Amino acid sequence: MPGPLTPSDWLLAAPLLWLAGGVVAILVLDAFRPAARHEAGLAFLALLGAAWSLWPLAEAAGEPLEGIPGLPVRAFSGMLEASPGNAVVGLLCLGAAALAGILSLRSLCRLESGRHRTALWTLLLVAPAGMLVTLASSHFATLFLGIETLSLPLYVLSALRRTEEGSVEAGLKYFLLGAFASGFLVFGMALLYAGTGRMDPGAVTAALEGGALARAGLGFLYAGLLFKLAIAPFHLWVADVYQGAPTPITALMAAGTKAAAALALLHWAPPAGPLGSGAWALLACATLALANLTALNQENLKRILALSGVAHAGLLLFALAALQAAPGSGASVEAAVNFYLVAYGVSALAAFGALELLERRAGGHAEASALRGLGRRFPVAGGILALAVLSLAGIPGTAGFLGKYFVFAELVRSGEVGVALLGILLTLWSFAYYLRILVVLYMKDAAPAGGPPAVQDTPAAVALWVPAVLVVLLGVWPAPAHLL
Amino acid sequence: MSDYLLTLITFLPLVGSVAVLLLPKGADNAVRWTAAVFTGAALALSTWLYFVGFDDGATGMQFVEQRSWIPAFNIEYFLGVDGISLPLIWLSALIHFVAVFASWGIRKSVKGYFALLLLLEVGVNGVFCALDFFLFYVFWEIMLLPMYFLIGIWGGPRREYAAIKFFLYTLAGSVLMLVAMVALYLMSGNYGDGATFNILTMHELAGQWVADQGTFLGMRFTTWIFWFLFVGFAVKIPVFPFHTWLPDAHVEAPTPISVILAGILLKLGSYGMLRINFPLAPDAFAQAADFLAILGTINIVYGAYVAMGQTDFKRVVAYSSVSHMGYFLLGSAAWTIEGINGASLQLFTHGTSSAMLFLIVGVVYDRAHHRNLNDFGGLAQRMPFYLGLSTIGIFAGLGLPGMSGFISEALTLLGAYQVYPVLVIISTLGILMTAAFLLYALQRVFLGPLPEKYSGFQDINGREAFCMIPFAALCILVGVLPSLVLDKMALAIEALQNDLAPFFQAVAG
Amino acid sequence: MLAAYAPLLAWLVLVLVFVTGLLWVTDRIGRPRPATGKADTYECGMEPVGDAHRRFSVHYYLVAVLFILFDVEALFLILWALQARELGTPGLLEVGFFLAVLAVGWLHIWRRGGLEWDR
Repeated sequence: MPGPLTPSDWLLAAPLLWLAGGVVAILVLDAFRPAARHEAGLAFLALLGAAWSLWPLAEAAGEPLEGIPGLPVRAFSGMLEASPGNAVVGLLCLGAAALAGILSLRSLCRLESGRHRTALWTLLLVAPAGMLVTLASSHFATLFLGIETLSLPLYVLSALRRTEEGSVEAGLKYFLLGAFASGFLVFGMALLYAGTGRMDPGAVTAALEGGALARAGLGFLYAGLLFKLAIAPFHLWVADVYQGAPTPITALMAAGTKAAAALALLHWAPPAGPLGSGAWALLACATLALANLTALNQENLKRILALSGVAHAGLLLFALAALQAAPGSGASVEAAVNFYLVAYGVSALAAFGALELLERRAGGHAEASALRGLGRRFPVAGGILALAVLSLAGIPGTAGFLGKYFVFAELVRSGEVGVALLGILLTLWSFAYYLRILVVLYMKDAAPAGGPPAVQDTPAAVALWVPAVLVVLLGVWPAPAHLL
Repeated sequence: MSDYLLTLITFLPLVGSVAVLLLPKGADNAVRWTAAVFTGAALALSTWLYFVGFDDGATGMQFVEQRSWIPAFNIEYFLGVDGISLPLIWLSALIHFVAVFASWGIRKSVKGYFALLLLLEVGVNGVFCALDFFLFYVFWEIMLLPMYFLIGIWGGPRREYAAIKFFLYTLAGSVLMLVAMVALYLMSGNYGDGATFNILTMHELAGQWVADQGTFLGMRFTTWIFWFLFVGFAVKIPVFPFHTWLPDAHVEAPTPISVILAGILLKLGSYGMLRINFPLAPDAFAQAADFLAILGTINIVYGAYVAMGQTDFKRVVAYSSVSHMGYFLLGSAAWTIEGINGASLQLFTHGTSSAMLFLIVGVVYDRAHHRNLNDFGGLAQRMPFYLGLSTIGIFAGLGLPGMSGFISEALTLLGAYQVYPVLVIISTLGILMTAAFLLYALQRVFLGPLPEKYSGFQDINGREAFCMIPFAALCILVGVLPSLVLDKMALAIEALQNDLAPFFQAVAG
Repeated sequence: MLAAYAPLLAWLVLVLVFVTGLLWVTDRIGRPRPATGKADTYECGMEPVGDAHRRFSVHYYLVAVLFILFDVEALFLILWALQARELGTPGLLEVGFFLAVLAVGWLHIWRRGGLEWDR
């Protein structure tokens, strides 16, 4: 019989309550006052509230919070578990949703005379709620619940431009493959439970003694998780979905989903786990190599950035390889992963956000040919995209560099110098397509201006500065997001 | 102020860069003058540092600034200057200041151009000042980007190719450096009190970790560290066979960027070797020294040989840089006091003479819009003042006695002869060829009949002269009074030589 | 062991007795009144004549999906009902809150015309 909620429970539930409360409020108000335009305000209020309630945990680096026994915080009889670093990643997810919202104000909100407003804003609140649950999950129930809660809104949001083929294709593809992956995930959980009798991350470690059933379950579980994180060979959906989905939604997927899924994977791949260091390193290298190879001859900038996201997810697996090679390094590996996710997240947000603005200037196209020379014509959006691309590439002075550095440092520290070298060389390879984006933006002569003039979008242009500044700030002063 | 002097020298251009970006669109002259003011301020400060602030008689680092930066990895914001970095800091400030004036004629996206130029100076000055390896690496990479854009946006017809080639070569090198850096950091944790990126501490610990028995890729710790770092820095120098990016980058880059590239960027690799590569893996360096000397000789002879065959004026100068940078390698591989002094002085003198040579090429290119040597002739008749300055630059480049190049090359060869007499004899062949191709170029541009189409050429204007005269003056001044530079370097080089000499004796014995 | 299934057996017997009894009683006390409508496939609602591929309003699918959605929520009520006594007042409040949230969704659908499938 569970007792009343403890302070830990409240701490982790509060952001979810804020988000859910926002959803309910939007629905109730929309039911009675459909003409009033209150959705955006309520949604931002809910996101702010969620961030405010998550803040104390994010701030508590190393010092236990009042009334809560120790860090990481364990809530709901251990079904949720979150460290301050996780909370920082949680803030990133909330910020991603907020930025996606701001970018939508002048575009998606006005789609079909604004009839999808309610759907957009409620789903933009549900998705981060799912991300928060996923990244803190330490029980099969919360893991599945979180992943479904974050995926379902994104299926819908991907297809929001329902009159455009690409968007519908993205939604359908994401939904079908995602549902398939969820099936794998839940089947894997069932088998693991059958084999080991456990539903916490310990089931993964126990799987090796749990017989063939549990081992098969482990395979299914990882297949499901790796699908969400887009690791080769489960990465094929990414380019199509990211390209087809409206760009603000792509930004949310890139920054938020990836972060949530990666932290979930970290929770569910404990040190001394069944997959050894070599297996993770192999997956990482294969993902990096395939993503790089595919990205090299893409014409669409959204696809290039999508594949860069795949490469980044692959790079993250090096951290898992380091963890397996040196099981004692849990805390510092987790710090490296958290920082990496925040660094990648802000870079991806800046990149996709700036791309959205440039896309509007190019008549809605993200092809290289349509974006030629736009960096020089629109210096702010172009500059932010260039900065984000440099951060994704990992140039020092940006957050992306330190993110990569922390991961590779863990790898070298764990003794896997050869793997680190291979990883760095694979990363180097990715510069070829990052540079290409810069060449398109700056070194080609501008395409003739075509299409209808874009709407002046001051909120989006202002909001984009936030991730852009963070990219530089975290690049020179990483301490706030790198909690050890 | 002197507590923050190096920070000011490094980051004043960054302030300038931001200021330039904040200026309104179209205010091109304001942008140019802002850039001039900030690079000028950095030059003024580093001149004060060079002639007044720096104490020739003191050993060790001066004007040290040390602050914690990323505590989790014990990374520090650690700046300092000694005799090896001092002349290069001053040279960097001078070259960037001159480059601003040489860039006066840039018309395309003026704001972006000067913002990047100033950012480039931040990276370069930072590399020379940084004493924390991590900080050094950050500045090293920061410098890469502006250069990539400056070649790629404002360059010639094949600018994209040249920019990407430059970027990928340098990056490939710095990746190896990154791995070595992390490994050194972790290794330092095994010896001193806690892992550190502090270059000076690593230098002290190097004597201990040469005995480390662990292997990687079949090599001992210091051996692979040495080679990783060496390739990283060699790309930048550039050492044969990593030199192929250089001619492309030079040919496509606009004149001021070529000046910066040849004048100071090539020195970063050599500086990195003296500061990091050699001291941190001393035994591997001593073992590899013969090979490095051979590479240096190849650079000298091969660079000069290829330069002889070029018809593009800028390519001639570019390959002459390859040749001249070989002296650095030859002189430092010998590891005698004279050799290292000559090698370090060569960095300074080649910085001035090659900058001058690229300015000379820029002048004819601006007027004729091509650089084909076979198509020039007789310009001496129309441009006598230009002829005079060019002669100084070219004679300094080929090492005429009385000019700066002579001193550094002579010292280098003197130092190297004690160890590698055969290689020195071979490399004198390079001197001969250098004289040949530079004089041949001089002849094809200035002498002979003046083609009709060039009869309207004006002699160099005040701005062009203003850019070239400081270098011309330095070429002569250092040639006559080399002690102006050598005195600054003497103590630091002697200490460095002493530290590493036992490893050479061990190899010899 | 098998005794545990005794209530199930009793229930099965009861059902059989009740159903057959009911049929038997109607047959005994009712009077047959034949009419054309009684021979139809459906006695009310649908007209069984015409093209089998009739076009439905697409909104009907929405209603169907919504039905399934709310139908499945009943599952949670069963879990609560099984433990209702033990959970007591707090449990009642919690399930009430759960239903209130569901009601908000339903209210929204209703107000925004999601149930008007014949428009």
